[in-house]
Amino acid sequence: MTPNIMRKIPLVIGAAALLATLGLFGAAPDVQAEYGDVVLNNYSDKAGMRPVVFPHWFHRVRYRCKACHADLGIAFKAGGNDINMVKVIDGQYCGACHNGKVAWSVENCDLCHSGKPGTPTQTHGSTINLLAAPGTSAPAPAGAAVAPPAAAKKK
Amino acid sequence: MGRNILLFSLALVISCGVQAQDALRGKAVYDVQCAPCHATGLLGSPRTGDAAAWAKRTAAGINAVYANAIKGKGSMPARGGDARLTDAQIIAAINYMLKASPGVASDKGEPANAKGVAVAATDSGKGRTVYQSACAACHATGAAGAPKLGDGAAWAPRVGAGAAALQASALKGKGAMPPKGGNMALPDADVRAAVGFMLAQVGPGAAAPAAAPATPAVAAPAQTTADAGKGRTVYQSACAACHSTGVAGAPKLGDGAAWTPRINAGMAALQTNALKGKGAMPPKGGNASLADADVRAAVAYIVAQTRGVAATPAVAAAGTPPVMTAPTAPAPNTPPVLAVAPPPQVQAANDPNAFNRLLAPPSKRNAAPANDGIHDASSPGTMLLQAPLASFTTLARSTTGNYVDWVAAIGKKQIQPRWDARDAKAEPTVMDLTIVREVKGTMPDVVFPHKQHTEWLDCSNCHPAIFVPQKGANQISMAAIMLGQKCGVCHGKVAFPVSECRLCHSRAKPAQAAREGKR
Repeated sequence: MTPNIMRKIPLVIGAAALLATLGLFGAAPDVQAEYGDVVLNNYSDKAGMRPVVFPHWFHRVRYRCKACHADLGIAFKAGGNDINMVKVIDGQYCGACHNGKVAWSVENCDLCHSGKPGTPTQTHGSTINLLAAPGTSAPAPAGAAVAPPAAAKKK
Repeated sequence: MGRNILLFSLALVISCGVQAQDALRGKAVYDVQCAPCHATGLLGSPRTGDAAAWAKRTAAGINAVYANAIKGKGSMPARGGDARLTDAQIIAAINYMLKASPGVASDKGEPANAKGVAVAATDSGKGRTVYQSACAACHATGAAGAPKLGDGAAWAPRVGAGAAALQASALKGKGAMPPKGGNMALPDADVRAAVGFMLAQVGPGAAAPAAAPATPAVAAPAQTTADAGKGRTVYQSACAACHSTGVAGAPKLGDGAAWTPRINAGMAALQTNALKGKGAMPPKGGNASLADADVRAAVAYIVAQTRGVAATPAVAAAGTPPVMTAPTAPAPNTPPVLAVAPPPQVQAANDPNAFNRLLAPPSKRNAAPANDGIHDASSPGTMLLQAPLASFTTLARSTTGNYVDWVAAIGKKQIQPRWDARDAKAEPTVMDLTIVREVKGTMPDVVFPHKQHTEWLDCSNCHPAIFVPQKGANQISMAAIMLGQKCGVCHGKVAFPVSECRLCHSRAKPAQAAREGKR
């Protein structure tokens, strides 16, 4: 990281905090996520990582529901599984396949942690998002994405 | 003799196998894209099943029919209005229609020679078409630092690097530019054609005439002004088929007598008719993938032509319909209303139809990760992820959810997802037991098929936590489903959504059946 960027970090963090606050009340940006895309943000934002976007469609092309939801015991609920990196590395949840043998391994952080910072945990396009709690599907305003979470991490 | 028969029947079996596969795909494309017109014969299109109408078209050879469908002809928009469809998909759809029109297919419905037609259809307008569908979002406005179409200064350093380098950047992405402009379903050749088109708009004397002979009227200088000529471009691609000739009673461009009464009704009414259709005029001129703003720009262009205003750039942005004061008064000196096209997000917010959250226009379905609003486009991983459309092209389509019919996809073995993560050969234990639930209201009774569910799921996924495996023991309501309980654990999240009422409520009640039978 260059000194030039180092000097800008406080500014970037400040801007991110401001935008995140506005996000709670601001208008929802245009979200066209694929139906069934699951955003997992139980810990990511707090840990300075981008939230995880789980492309459900991609996995169901390759595995039937049973492979994950019965054999691995993954509950049918976004955020309902207490997944963290220790468990993944130990071969639980995502780690059952994402181990470098069946699928790529945990060092490819950005492939999972690819969501816009501030996007809440949810299943995109779900009825409950559309009807019962409209507006909760929005990530933080587009501007917040400009502040890379990497900057906050390297504080 | 006997040997001949044997050979003949062998050839028949092989061709039938190929045709059967083709027919499945053809029907899928037909249902989504062609049926709106061809099922009813709208706008003079040959109706599916009408052998006489089709015979006229196939008289010139089946390849001419394929080429017309791909390039568009008369009221028929290019590729039925969806530029994402491949040549092979179009051909499969035509073959399906021909097959459904007995008496036509047999003589000239010979081989879907996809390659031959592809060559015929790779006409010069291809680059422009691809540009408009995949590149214009950024390269027309300069969003995200993209070099604007026709901006010589911005393009010069890039052109200096050579066309091959430019094509590589377009194919693989560079900086904010996503691979293939974010539309991974585009074939490489299309992307190269679009690059060629953009380059042709920059260089003086470059391949402009070759790249866009269909619309030689669009001079390069016009493109250099911000979005200049947008209305004209849209007009030529989507409206000219009828409005330049007066087909189907369309008022002709520049025909004051025909247009004046329409203009007098107000710009808003004209735009509404153009967007939603009226009489023989299909919504958006039959090209549903056009942005509302583009249609408005085209309307503004047509009106300007009629009123004698020079075709100098009249740009209409979404939400800011061109202000036309005193529509009857001739105003040749009034400068056209200029507005800077806002970035796509702003357009969507100002779109009067933006409130319709459930009905995504075709252009917004199956967005690539970089454009879907939840992936961080600045993350290095985002560009490496597969775009849904790159995976879905060969799958049976539906009209909601992922726009994929997952049950059909697995039934036709278009996908063969593993039952067990470790054992590739493990097969599901499918249980064929249908449960009928009589519902209290007026809706038809619910038919629950275990078969389609056990193709995907283990018994323990649903029983006993979600559903008690006992007749009458489960209280299920639509309210619970919409809150994500019972069927709503999957339906409305990852399986087909609750908007598809009739997929579950599919058995008419005895009384209903009797009533409908009497009619």
